[in-house]
Amino acid sequence: MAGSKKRVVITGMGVVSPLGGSLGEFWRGLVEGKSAASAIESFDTASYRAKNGCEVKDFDFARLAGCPVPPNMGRASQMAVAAAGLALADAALPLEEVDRTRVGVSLGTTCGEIQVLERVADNEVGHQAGCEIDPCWWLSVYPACSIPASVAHWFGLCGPNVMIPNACAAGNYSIAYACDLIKLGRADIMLAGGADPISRVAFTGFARLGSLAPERCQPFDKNRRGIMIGEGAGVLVLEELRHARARGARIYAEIGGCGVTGDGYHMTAPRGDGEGIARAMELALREAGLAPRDVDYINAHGTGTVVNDKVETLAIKKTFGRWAQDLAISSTKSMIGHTLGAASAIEAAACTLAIVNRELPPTINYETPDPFCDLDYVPNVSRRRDIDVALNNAVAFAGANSCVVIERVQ
Amino acid sequence: MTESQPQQVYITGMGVAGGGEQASAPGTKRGLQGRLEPTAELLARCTAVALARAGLAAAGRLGPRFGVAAGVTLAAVDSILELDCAALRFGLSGVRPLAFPNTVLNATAGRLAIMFGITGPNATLASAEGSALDAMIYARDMIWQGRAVGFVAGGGSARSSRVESAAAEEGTSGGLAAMFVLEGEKSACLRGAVPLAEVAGAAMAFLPSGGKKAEIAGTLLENLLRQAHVRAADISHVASATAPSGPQAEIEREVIERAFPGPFAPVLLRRNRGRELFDTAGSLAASRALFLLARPLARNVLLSAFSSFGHASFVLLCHPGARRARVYERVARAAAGGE
Repeated sequence: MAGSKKRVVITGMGVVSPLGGSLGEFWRGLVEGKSAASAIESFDTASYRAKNGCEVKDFDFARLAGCPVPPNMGRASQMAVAAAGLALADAALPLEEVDRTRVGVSLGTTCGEIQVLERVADNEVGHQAGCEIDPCWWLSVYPACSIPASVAHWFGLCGPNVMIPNACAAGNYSIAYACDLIKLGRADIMLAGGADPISRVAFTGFARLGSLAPERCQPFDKNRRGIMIGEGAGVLVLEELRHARARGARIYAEIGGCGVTGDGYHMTAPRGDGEGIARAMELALREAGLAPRDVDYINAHGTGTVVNDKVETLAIKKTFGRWAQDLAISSTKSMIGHTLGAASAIEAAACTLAIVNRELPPTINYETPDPFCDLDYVPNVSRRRDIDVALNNAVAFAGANSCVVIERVQ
Repeated sequence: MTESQPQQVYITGMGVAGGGEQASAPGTKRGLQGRLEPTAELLARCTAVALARAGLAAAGRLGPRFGVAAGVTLAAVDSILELDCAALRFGLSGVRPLAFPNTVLNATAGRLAIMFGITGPNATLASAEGSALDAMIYARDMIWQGRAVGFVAGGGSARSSRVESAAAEEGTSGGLAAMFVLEGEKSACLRGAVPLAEVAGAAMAFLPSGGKKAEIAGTLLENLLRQAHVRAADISHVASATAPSGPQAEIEREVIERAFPGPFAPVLLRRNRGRELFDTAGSLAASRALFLLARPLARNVLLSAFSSFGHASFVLLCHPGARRARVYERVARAAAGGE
């Protein structure tokens, strides 16, 4: 790999998740195996077989920010700004003392500010008669780039500002690019992650594909029936190691390496042999200078669909060979649902907390082993274990695969 | 800023297309699932032309050494509204099962990957007027980081009546796209590719409200030129993707005046008021720059985009010329074991 030898570390984390609006609530919920699934309240699900989702029920941006919600800020941006604020506070980063042209934002999403377009659709079909929507307004709010722009505006950050809307792998792709920007010397600090609001369009789309779990998400279980839509935001403060040490920052963990690949195969299904996901893991390990036996834990993409979980298991076996049986693997989507573009960012925080707290979050709702998914999925109960290296997997529509290696700083 | 520059990155192919019709790009039928979204169709036609120009059309599947970066911000608007309206009007059964993938922004890049067998990094960049430029910057960074030897990158959007009616500008939106093949020096040289331009520098920043916007962007541009070892006086043209009027255009003008003082200021090529909105603007600015470099009517052209959301992106394209000859010679010697 060309480029410098700069190292990138995590010095702050902020999570807005269906398990709560703080990092502490999030982690407690995960290790307690708490499910955030409940009846969706954001839109009418009467005509759908599935009714449940994982919403952030108590999210109140105005209360958090202490000011009214700006008129051009949608829910995705609100959650991203909230998560970024939590992450900056966690990093104890004195923004007034740093060169803000060296602090950038790299975020991902699947749906972005899609709730804005859902209002337009309501308007088009006459569900909100008499409530005319100014087209100039939605054009200024909907574009996904408004999310990192909102974060940068809010905190006055002038470094690179990137939106990578790579669907369910967006968080990892954004983290990977943020690391590259730091390594290439274009930023000292990057806020990286993803945000996605609950979406009627996504719910409808997954329902039409037959991919929605009716009541609960059961990754890797023989009787798994699909995903549970969620929402949230996760932001990591990524910092060049020397920069972090120079300011005496607490260092949670290091981003050892990243792998990003494409399947070039199908819009909605992964390659059956798992080659693309396996290659992403292999590239990430190579970049980190690690061997398969060095890995302790994988936070799986683990959506709970029949095909995805089977293929991901195959890919893990392909990458790790005989070491696959020694790995602990879990899917936190079993608890917080699939938060789409935020998922891998939130899961990166889960990996980091697992390293720091020496405890693995479980895969809940796991009841019946599947012969095609025959690895250790940390079923139902969290597990105390010293881990030094965690992998964060994420794959997306159209076969965008990604893996981020998170390791304890030695 | 202490940017390392492991290798030169060249543009070896370009494809520009207009329209957004549903006819398929030649030789790109394999592996399609569901209806092809019009922006994906448009970018696929550009990509087919760009790959042919780069001498890569015969390669078939480009494989893991190539990536794709699509700059699209508004591509999914019609697909989202069609799906949502159908569901509201007719219930779930009124929605086509394969309509959903077209509602996600990375559908375009995904389609390109499927069509052209690209299995390297697969990314979508959305930054309004800066989308295509950011896609090119992403591609160059990925090549620098060794994540791919080449990339298909660019952007554009099909026409959308909904976006047109929402756009504050007069005229139509979209209906134009351009895609480019970016390659590292080793890949380009060993294939014997003829570069159209060298991507000699790139930079991104954000200009928050209330900040010293022109000063921040001006400093960014000065750093870019210094690292690219190109003097401001040697830039003859600035191809802009910025909206031709409004506050962003004012900031851009101020930045250019600051970076290029004196009587030899570059010619500023503003985008057309008509068809160039968001994703189209950057790709068309880049294609204009390549046209100038190919004639050659220019040696160094700066691409500039100030988005209505606050992003500022610059890409410096230089005529490959003498520097390319030296680089190719070095790569050839290295390949032959001479170094």
